[in-house]
Amino acid sequence: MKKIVIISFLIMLFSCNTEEKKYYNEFKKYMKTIHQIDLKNYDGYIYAIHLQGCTDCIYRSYKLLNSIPSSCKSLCKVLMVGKCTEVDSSLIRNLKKQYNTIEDNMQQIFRYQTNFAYPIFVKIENGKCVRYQEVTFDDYSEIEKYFNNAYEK
Amino acid sequence: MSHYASNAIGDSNPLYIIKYNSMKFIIYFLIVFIVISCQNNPQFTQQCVKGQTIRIPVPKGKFSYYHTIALYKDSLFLGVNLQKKNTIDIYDIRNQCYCYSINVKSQYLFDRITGIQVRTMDSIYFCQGSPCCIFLINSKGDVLKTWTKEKLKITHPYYEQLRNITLNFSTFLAMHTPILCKNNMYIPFDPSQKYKTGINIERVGSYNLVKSRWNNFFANTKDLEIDIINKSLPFDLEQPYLCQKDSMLIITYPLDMTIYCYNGNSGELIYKKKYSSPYVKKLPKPVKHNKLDNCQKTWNFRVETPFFGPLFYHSEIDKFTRIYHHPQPLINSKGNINDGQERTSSIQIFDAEFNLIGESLFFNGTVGVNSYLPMKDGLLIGKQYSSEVDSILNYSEIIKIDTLIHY
Repeated sequence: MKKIVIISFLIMLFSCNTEEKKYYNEFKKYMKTIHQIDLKNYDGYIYAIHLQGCTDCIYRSYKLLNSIPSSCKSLCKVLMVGKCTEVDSSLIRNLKKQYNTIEDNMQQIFRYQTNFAYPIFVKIENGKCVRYQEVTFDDYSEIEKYFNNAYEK
Repeated sequence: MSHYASNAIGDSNPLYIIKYNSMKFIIYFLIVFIVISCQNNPQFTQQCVKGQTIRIPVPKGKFSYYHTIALYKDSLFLGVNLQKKNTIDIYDIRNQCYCYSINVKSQYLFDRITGIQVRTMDSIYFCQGSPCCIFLINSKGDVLKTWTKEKLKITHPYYEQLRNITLNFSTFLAMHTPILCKNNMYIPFDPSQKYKTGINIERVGSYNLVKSRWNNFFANTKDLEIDIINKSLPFDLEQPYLCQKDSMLIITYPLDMTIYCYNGNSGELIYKKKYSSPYVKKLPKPVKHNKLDNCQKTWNFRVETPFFGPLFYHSEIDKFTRIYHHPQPLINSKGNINDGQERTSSIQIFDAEFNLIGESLFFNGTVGVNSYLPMKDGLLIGKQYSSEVDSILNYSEIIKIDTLIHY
């Protein structure tokens, strides 16, 4: 009984907090409805970028995704929301060569309360959300370290 | 009255009680009626009527919706879409056709073309929001002059608070356009949220394009009826709109009923006018900073809140208009976050003294957010953008201001 309580406590501690959970539930609904991807069966990462959002976010995300070890890239889907500009098209083409990408040209993600505006980083283990994080300006190096640690393991 | 008064307290005759209570009710009703009658009920004399519908096919590679829009001499529509942020597409709305595009190349142009102001088609000014910059181009896209952030640095000795800020122009927001007036440009800017620190700070500047220096500054945050210093609104709902008539610079805000009139030369606040409308019941007030601490909360606020578009001046009829987007529920009838397709908006009409003289309603997203431009005697409007309709230019209805006939 003690073990069950401790394990439950650890799962609660390391899973998304209440607000993140609410946004993740909407994100799950969006992925299933719009992209027919059931995250209950998913194990890996998802990184969502708004191609019509802030220019700095696009370039930093591109730099981050380029720097991730190849073994982690194969575990990560990149969700591209909106249509890229002329200027960014070569960067996006390059990302598409490296990653399994999902496209949302009509920006349907905004119909759901997913807290998406800045890029979103999601880690799912055996169908359970472990991390659901908006990636603001200070977070890129932390996410890069996170991926590098995962690679070293 | 005295007859009833003489049959006063203590008289238990039922007939008397009924008559006394009836009299009380009549007096009460009269008081309420007089109070209501004395309310400032606007007597509307103007209305918006539908003018021409224009239908312009959009060529391949061009767009139905544009993020930066402008209208020149009520006939040439200029638009810039995010996907081609250095290109101005031009349409002739009188002859209902696409004309040509202007592609601008400049080492200083990193972001979308915004805040287009046309002097002539060979003298087009526009801004870059960040880093702040003003450009002058001709009809071929040749850059004739650039005012970079170095030339735009504020060194005016009187405005010490503005001297140490990073200046970003609010022009990247579609309706927060600058105004070209002879050799000067009035520009709205966001001084890096510095006004949140409680310092009284100006939000609009007048820039001399010939001398390449700032003349004056306007719209101090202390002038506002709403508190955006100690409280917050989403960033875009705190930015000033500009309008000009003669020597007056008129400033309004998305969540403030009040119209602020400044002397366009001295920067002095001449007067402010608050008015009432039968359709504007209550505008949300700014909230505590932590209420909008993530993107989703901010977006939800934006979806639900009613707000104003800019004030427009129509020179041919000496009247003003202002668009009011009514509140809407967060979730629409399809169960998704509301995208404004079902939203009601009204076009308010004012006389030269800013008295409200008309207000016409438009339903189901007919007047789209950020999708209208002033004409000399009306407006060019577009629907709330739906990406499903890409083959026709979205800005397709001409609205005229006309006399309201009471029957």
